[in-house]
Formats: sequence, C-alpha cells, structure tokens
Amino acid sequence: VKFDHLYKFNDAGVEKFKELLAGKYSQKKVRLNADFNLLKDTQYSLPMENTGPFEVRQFATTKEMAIAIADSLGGRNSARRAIRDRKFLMWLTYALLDVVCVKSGDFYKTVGEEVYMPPDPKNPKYNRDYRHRLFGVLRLYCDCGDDADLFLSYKPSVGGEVFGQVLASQENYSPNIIKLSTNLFFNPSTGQRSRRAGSKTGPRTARRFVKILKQLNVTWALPLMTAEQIRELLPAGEFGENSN
Amino acid sequence: MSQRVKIRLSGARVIPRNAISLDVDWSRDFAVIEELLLKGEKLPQNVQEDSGVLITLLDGDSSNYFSSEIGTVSNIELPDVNEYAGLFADNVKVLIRIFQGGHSEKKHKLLARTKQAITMSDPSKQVDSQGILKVLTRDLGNDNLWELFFDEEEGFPILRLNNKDGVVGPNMVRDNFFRSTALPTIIESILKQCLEDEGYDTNEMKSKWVNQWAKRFEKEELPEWSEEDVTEYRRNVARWAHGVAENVMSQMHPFSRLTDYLKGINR
Repeated sequence: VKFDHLYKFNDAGVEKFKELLAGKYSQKKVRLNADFNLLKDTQYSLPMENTGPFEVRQFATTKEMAIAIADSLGGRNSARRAIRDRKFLMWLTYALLDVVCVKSGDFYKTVGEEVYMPPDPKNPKYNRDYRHRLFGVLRLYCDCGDDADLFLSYKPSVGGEVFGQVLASQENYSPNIIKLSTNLFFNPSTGQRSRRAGSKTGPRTARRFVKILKQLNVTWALPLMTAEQIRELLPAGEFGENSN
Repeated sequence: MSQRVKIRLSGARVIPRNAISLDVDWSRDFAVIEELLLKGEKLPQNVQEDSGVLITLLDGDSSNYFSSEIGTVSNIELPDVNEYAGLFADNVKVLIRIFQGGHSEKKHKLLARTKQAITMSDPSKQVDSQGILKVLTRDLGNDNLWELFFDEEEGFPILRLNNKDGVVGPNMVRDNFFRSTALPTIIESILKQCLEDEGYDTNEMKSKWVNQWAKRFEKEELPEWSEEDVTEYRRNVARWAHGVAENVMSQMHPFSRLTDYLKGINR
C-alpha cells in the first residue's frame, strides 16, 4: 500500500482502531477485521502536513522501517515529536498491522502490547512504553540513530530477547548503554547480531551484561559515563575487544 | 547478594538521611525539586566539597526515571524542571549519589549514596500506605456487624464496625474469624464500588490508589470502560474484583486462620 503522505486518525478513526483490537488483547490466533481503506478515508483519517510519501511493505529490518517512517515525517526530530501523538501512532499501527504482527493465513499469531495501545505522552511509563513496537523502536532510532543498530536489526515483528533484557530497565535507556550494547553484540560489517546475545545462559549474553551493569551501578556513576568508559569496567575476558 | 553487601563491596558509603535537606514543591500537580542541600559535616568523611553529585528521580512504581548531574556537594545546581516536568505526579523517589569528580580516571567512582531512595509524596494525595482501608468503630444503630462507607471528599473507603455494645474495637479487623469470613466481601465491595462510579475513566483509575494497591495482588489489567456495553463492563469488574480478593486471601491463608480459630474455641 502506498500513501502520498502520512495521516493521523480523528476521533472516529480512534474508535475504529479500538474496535479492531477490542477483546483481542493477549489472545492467540486472532482474526482481525481490518479495513485498510479507512486509512485514507477522510471520515477517519486526517492528512498530516509536511509529510512525504510512505509505503507499507515487508521491511527487512526494524531500522529500515524506522528510517522510512522518519523520512516521511521529515527527519528524526520531526519523528520524535510525531510519536508523542497517539492518534498518529494508532494510524501507523493500523497501517503496519501486517508488518509488526506475525500473520499466518487469515490469523494474527497474537495481538499483544506491541500494538495494543500506544503510550500516553501525558502519562509516560518507561517500563511499559518501550514495548509498543512502533513507539519503542522509533524512539530508539530518533534518540540514538545508528548507535541503536543492535535493537533495530530484527524484523519489525520480532521484539527479541536482547530488546527486552536491556530496555526493560529504565536506567538502561540512556545513549551510553544503548551504544555499548550495540558495540558489544552487533557486527556492523555483517549487519548481524552476536549469536550469543540472546542466549539465556552462559557468558557474553545480554542477560549477563545487564546483571553486570546492575553491579557496576552501585560502584560507578554510570549515567555520566561514556560507552567506552563503561566497557573498560566490564570483565575483559568476557566482554573485551578480543573475547569472541 | 543483598544491596547492603553490594554497597559495602563497592566502597561507597551511605549518605545519612540527616545529611540531606530536600524540599519538593507540588503546587504544579507534579514534583518539582525546589531545594536540595547536602550538609558537609554530616556526610561521610571520604566526600569532599568538590565531589560531584548525581540525582536520580523515580516514581512510586519505579516506572518513570530521570537522572542528572547536579554540580558539586558545595554547589548544587538543580536540574531544569522542564527536563522532568510531569513525570512524577503523586510521589517521587529521590536517589542521591556522590562521585569523586575532578579529572582523574576514577572521577565517576561513587563515594557515597543514599541507602534507599527518599520518598516524597504530594500531601494532598497521600493515602494510608498500610492498606486500602480506614477502620472506625461506631454504634451503627442496627445489628449489622460492619458497614462500608466512602469518604465523600477523598473517595477513600471506611469500614465502620458496630460497637453498639462497647465491646468491639478497631482491632477486630485483625481477628482471624473476621478476616477469614468478612474480608473477601469487603475487598470485593470496595473495588467494585470504586470502579463502578459513574464517569469512571480507565486511564484516570489506573493511576489511582485502588489500582496501585490491587496491582500488588493481581496482574490482570483493570477492565476497560465501555460506554456501549456497561453490562459487560460491570461483569468484568465483578470478575476482576473477585480475582483480586481471591489473590489477597490466598496470601492471608484464611482457611487455616479459620480452623485455628475454631480449634481455639473448641479447646
């Protein structure tokens, strides 16, 4: 589907969004009666000024999707403002339903908090907001750009163990920790994540990294340190440059 | 490993509460750090006047977070309120960390930190942190054992115990027989009445004390208000309230309390 510009829902569109997902939250194998025509219907959707063309397609990575959205919005700064508008996020979620949810035939595998209700900017919740797939990844891309490559290297429908492990802690949503996570677990030359990163056991995993950060946090003023400074504090044998 | 052991191992000392003078202004409906002073003479000896200070703000359920460097021990520069405006509506937890400062390699090494975050609450929104229920004794003028009322201004529930014979006191709510038999009904009634208020708004309720309390026992989210299907909403509220009461009671072991009580009177 191609759009000449982006839209946001009006009140009638918001109702349609809520109707679509009503009673479907957390259920498995869900059939949604999405009517994608209303995304351009001015009865439900208002064109957003100063936005460019946007195409809904199966993006290879979350970053590719984030870049397409941000470009259409006019750049990362504009995108940062736009994701504070719930009516826009609802429209975008509706438009990208088949991209951010796993679909099998006519059914969606689950409809969980990744699409359910976009964060309320008047009542921000760090420990919950990041889980909304579009809000979470767009905010990461807007705030950290390439430094967030690790978290944006997944398919848009995949949250990922690393994403949950690192970002579930509010203290970890800071540019230095995001950058360090990417440095540790992402290979820019291949565009691949470290295979070990998402493991639940063993060394050099995101879980271990978060655990060590918690310990370092009682010894160092981590929020004030650079990614490189923090890396020097990590066990060299496990997280050092040549520890692979 | 406990937090205390971690702090000791880290070498960071504890900043005593009386070394911190903290004032929070709530007049804008959210927390604004109005004043923060560190009293040098009461700080651990390893702290210097030019040691750096890091402030971290968290909200009651630790879901919002703000962290900022705020100058030195002797010269604290409070963070710009616009950086955290609106994040901390009812209460704020303040964590102070003092680090070495200067330009050495170890300038970010912590010298001292508050053992626990200091919790400051909006006095106009303070609730009884012990529970959801205020208990009073009254002559109810009837033979009911108890009645439930809601404070008209604050909306908090009040349990009135009937002491018409002068024997019953507020401690009766701690009695095993009363807890095991009456408490589930009381909890359900409170939750249902709170959520069935006309004009109830899900988002507003989510931040209210009743939900904060219920969240300790029930993971399921509050039922979503639906104007189109009020009957279904009420059904969901009843199911949710029953679930919370069941979870609360499962932690209080009412059945064994009741059998203990019965064994006691049969002895």
